[in-house]
Amino acid sequence: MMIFQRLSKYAALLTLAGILAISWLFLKGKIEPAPMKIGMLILTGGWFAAAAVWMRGKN
Amino acid sequence: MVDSDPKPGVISFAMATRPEEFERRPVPAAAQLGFKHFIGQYAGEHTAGTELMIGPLFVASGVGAFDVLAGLFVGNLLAVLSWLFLTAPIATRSRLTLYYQLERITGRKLAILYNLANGIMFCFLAGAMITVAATALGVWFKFPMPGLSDLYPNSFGWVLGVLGIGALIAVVAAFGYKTVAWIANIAAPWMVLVFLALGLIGLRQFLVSTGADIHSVGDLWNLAKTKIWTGGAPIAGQVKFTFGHVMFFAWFCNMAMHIGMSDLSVFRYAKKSWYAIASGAGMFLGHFLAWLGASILYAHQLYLNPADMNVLPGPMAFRAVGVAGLLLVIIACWTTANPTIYRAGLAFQAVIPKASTFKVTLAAGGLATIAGLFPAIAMKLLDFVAIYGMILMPMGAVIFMDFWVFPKLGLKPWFAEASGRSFNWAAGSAWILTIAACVSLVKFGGMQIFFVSLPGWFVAALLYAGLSQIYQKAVGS
Repeated sequence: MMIFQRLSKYAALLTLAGILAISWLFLKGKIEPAPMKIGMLILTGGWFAAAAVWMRGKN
Repeated sequence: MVDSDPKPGVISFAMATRPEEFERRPVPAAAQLGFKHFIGQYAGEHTAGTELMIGPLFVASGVGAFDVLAGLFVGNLLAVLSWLFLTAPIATRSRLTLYYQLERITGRKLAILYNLANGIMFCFLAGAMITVAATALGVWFKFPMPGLSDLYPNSFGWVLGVLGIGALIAVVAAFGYKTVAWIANIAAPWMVLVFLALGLIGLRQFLVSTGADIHSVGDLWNLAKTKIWTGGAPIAGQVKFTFGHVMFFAWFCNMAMHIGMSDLSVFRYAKKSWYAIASGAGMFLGHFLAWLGASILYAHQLYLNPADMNVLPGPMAFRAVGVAGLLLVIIACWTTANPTIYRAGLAFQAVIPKASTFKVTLAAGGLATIAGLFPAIAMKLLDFVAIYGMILMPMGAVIFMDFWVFPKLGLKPWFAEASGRSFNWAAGSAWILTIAACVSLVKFGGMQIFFVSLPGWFVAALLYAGLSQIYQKAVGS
C-alpha cells in the first residue's frame, strides 16, 4: 500500500510537470491547439486520480 | 464551554473544515500548525473562479502594461505586509477567532450585526462565483449569456443555468461540506498550474495573431505594452485604471481578511507570526499570475474582435485549453463558493441561533443563487470587492486599536466583556460613522471607491479611540 501511495505521489507530480511542459511546448509552437487541449484534459484526469490516492494516504 | 460546542461565528476556510475547535479559548500549542500548511491554504483559497473575471476587467478598464505589472506587484506586496504586520501579530498573541475577539470588544449584539453584514457580503461574493461558473455551462448548453453592461438576467437558459449551479452548490454546502473541502485541497495545485498555462497559451495566441517574434525580454515587453495592456481608453461603463487603481485594488481586494482582521481565525493556528508571509503564495500565484493570465486571454479576444467586449470566463477558458478550461472554471468557482456559502450560513446562524446549520446554509445558498442571477455583481466585481472591504474594514481598526493602543491610552481593552455590555456604542458608532464618511468621500469628495478605505481606516481608528474615551467614562460613572 505504501509503495502504491508513493507511486501515486510521483504520478501526481508528473502530471503537474506535464501541464507545464505542454503549455511551454505550445508557447514555443511545437504542438498544435487540438493535441494540446486533449493533453490538458488527460493530464487533468491524471492529476485528480493520482492526487486523490496520494492525499488519501496522507490523511 | 468545551471546545466541541458548535458556536456560530466568522470562520476561515481552514476553520470551516473543523468549525467546532477552539471557538472560545486560545488555540493550544499542540494544535498549532506549521508554515507549509499556510502556503497550501493561501495558494488554494486565492486561486478562485473570480480571478478569471478580475484579470479581464483590468483590460476592460484600459490599464497599461507598466501600471498592471507594477501595480499588482506593489499592491500584492502591501497585502502580504498587512497580513504580516497587522493580522498575524494579534492572531498569534491572542489566538482567538475574529468572532470571539469582536464579541469581547463590541459585545454580542454588535458582533451579531457585524456577522449579518459579513454574511450578506459572503452571499454576494458566492453569487459572483455562481455567475462565473454558469458561463462555463453556457458553453455546453449554448444559452445566451450576459454582456459586460448587463445588469439583469438576459435569457431563460441563463436563469436555468444559474439556478442549477446555485442549487447544487447550496445543497452540497449544506450536506457534504467536508468532501468539497477535500476536493478543494486536491484541486488547488492543479488550478494554479492551469491558470499559469492560460497565460502561456494566451501569449502564444497573441504571437500567432500578431505575427510577432520574441527573441528577448524587450520583444516581450513591446508586445505587452502595444498589444496586450495597451493603456487606452476604458470600455464604456468602466473606470479608467492607472497604477494607483491596480495597486489599491490588489492591496484592498482582501481587505476584510487582513486589515479587517477576518484572518485572525486562520493565523491563531500559526506557531509564529512570520508565517503570514505564506499569504504571498496566494497573492503572487492567484492575484498576480492568474489575473495576468486571464487578462491576456481577454486582451486576445479584444484584439481579434474589438466589438466582442463580453467578459465570459467559461468561453474564454474553453477557447484556450478546451474542456480542461471549463473544468477549471467550474471547479475553481465551486470549491470557493462552497466555503463562502458555508461561512455565510454560520454568520446568519449567529443571528438566529435556534435555526439548524443545514437550513441557514441552504438559505444562504438560495440568497447567493438569486444574487448570481444578476450579472451586475460579477461584471462590476472590481467595485463590489472595494465596497466589501470598505464595509468590513472599520472593525479591523477597532480590533487593532483595542489590542495595541488602548492600554497605552489608559483605556480598557475588551470593554464589552469587562463592563458586561452587549453593545459597545463606541465601536458601533465608529463602524457606522466610518462607512458614512467613506460614502461621503465618494459621493461628495470625488474620491473613487478603490482609494477610500485607506483614509477610512484612520477615521475608524481615531473615532473608536475618541468615542471610547467618552463612552468608557460615561459607563464607569
